[in-house]
Amino acid sequence: MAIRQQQERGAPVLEVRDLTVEIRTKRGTITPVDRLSFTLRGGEVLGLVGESGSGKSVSMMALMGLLPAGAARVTSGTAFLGGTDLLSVSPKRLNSMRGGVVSMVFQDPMSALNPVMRVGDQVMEAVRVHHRGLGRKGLRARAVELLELVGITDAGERMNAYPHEFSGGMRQRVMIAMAAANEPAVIIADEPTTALDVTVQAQILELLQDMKERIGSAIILITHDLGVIAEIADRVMVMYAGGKVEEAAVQPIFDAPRHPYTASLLASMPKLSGAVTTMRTIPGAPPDLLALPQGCRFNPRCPLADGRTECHTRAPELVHLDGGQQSACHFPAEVEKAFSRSSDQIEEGGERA
Amino acid sequence: MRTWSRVRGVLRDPGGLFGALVIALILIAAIAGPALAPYDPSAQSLETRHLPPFWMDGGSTAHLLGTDQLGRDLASRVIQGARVSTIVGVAAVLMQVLVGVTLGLLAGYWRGALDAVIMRLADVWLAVPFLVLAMALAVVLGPGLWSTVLVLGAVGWVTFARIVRAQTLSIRERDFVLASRVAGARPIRTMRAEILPNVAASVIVVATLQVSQMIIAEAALSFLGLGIQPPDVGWGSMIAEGRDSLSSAWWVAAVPGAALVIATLGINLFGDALRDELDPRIR
Repeated sequence: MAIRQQQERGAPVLEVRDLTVEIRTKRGTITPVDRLSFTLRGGEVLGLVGESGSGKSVSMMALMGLLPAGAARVTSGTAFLGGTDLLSVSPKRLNSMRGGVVSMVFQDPMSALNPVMRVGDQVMEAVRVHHRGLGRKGLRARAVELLELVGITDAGERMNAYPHEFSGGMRQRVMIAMAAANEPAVIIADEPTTALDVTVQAQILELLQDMKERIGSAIILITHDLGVIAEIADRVMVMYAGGKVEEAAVQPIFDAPRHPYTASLLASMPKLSGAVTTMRTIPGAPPDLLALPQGCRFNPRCPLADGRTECHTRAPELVHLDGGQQSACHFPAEVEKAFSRSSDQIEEGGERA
Repeated sequence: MRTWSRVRGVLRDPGGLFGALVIALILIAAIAGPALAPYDPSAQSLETRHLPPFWMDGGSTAHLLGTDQLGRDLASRVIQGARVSTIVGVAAVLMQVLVGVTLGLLAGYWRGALDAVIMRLADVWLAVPFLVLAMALAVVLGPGLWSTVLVLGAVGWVTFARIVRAQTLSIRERDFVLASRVAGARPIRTMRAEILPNVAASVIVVATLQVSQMIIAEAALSFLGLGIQPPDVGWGSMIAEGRDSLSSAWWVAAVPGAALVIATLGINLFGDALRDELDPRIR
């Protein structure tokens, strides 16, 4: 209940400080998440963006206590959710919080539902874990209610169907129903629309937002689709090589990114206006976590780093800029200029064609 | 609905149909044996010793399948023996399933040290020939119906443990298992509700085939005098009794032998048809 009360809009729900995860590999120890800090506020959608391997999913798994035992471990940090530190709480207690105050929607609804269990039983199972007292009738009623809530018609009848009788979009609706079953304070959605058709994507995003309003959860939305971010996120956090490089409200991120990596991501988005040209990419590849570059981790791919010793020797700290924007760049003020030039070129090219 | 269509699928297969009929016959004999048998299976009649089956010279329709060296009616004894075969086959396999599936699930789900211990134990088990191990245990436990069940149950769990472990290893990596953990289910619950239903099909198929294996193993133990003891009647001990008169009255051994062959064949054919129906990987 304590957590419920804090869920007023804007009040911090989840506060992560200095989360560090290490994975021991045969070739050495890597740090897929390096001193990550962020705050999730009540009722907001926080977008988490970054390339594959930037630490998005690993950090979320760490919060859920679901890192593969033995291989990966959290080496430092705190993550307070309603007065409980998720990172130091006992496994038993954490287990009772999972699905209750924090739940998750997975990327691929095809594999996230058990193929041999009826859909209704799976939803009932999600409810049952946290409502031991509820009888079968009560569970069933609640499951039907949840399925109706996520827009499944004839919910009572569809309860008896198996997952393979559902379309991808419907399965993702079921997953969302299960994630929302216990009205959690936080829902982590790990690329919830990646495996779906474009037309269905929009419906699912709408549903996520709708559910958020209804049950008052805050959502962490992992994605590498900036379009998804623009559509439903309130704030955006950009990760690169295990660390946060920029954080801001959605508008500033799109209008005036303060980190060259964010700017590069935006520049590589295909535009609907203009001619079909070669897709812009970010030069180079994400760094090898076993051999991180000296100084700023982004420097090998950064247009601002050329010939600047600072970028190659000193890792930039997160700096707070006006409007609540944060950037881990030595030269946040130059980002706009450097990239507006290149994006101008694209648009000019588009007009000419 | 689904269950019914699968039953139909098995029965549509000729082998499956034959197997189902054989199994039905065995079950009827096991349950209603005393009512069906024309004679008391242990009633001796020294005037009518070694009577051949009815179709041979000197045979009579009073004793359809002939009599043994003590004049006991073979048909009645074969029917009586079905009960032992059923009890031993089913009970021993149930025991194997219980032990094997539990250990397999635990090993596959937790991996690590527990897995290593269970699987090395299984390796040791497999290193000793099945019948030798069963004989050794039978000697220790003493012969008898329930110790035979215990012996065969203890020897055969490895098959199930290995199959279930292998499948658990792959299933535990699927997202729905993670989803169940994310939903706050305890490990035992995850194993039972999410993983077990996914391995059930293979377990059912293997269990069916294993029943016939156990019936043969029981016969072998009884043949060696380590299994069923009189007055209980088992097909294996009947074959043993007929061994001495094999040259003069071959049917005394051949009748229970035929019962054993038909029963095993039927159960195996049924198991194969069941696998075709349940296991989508080989369809």
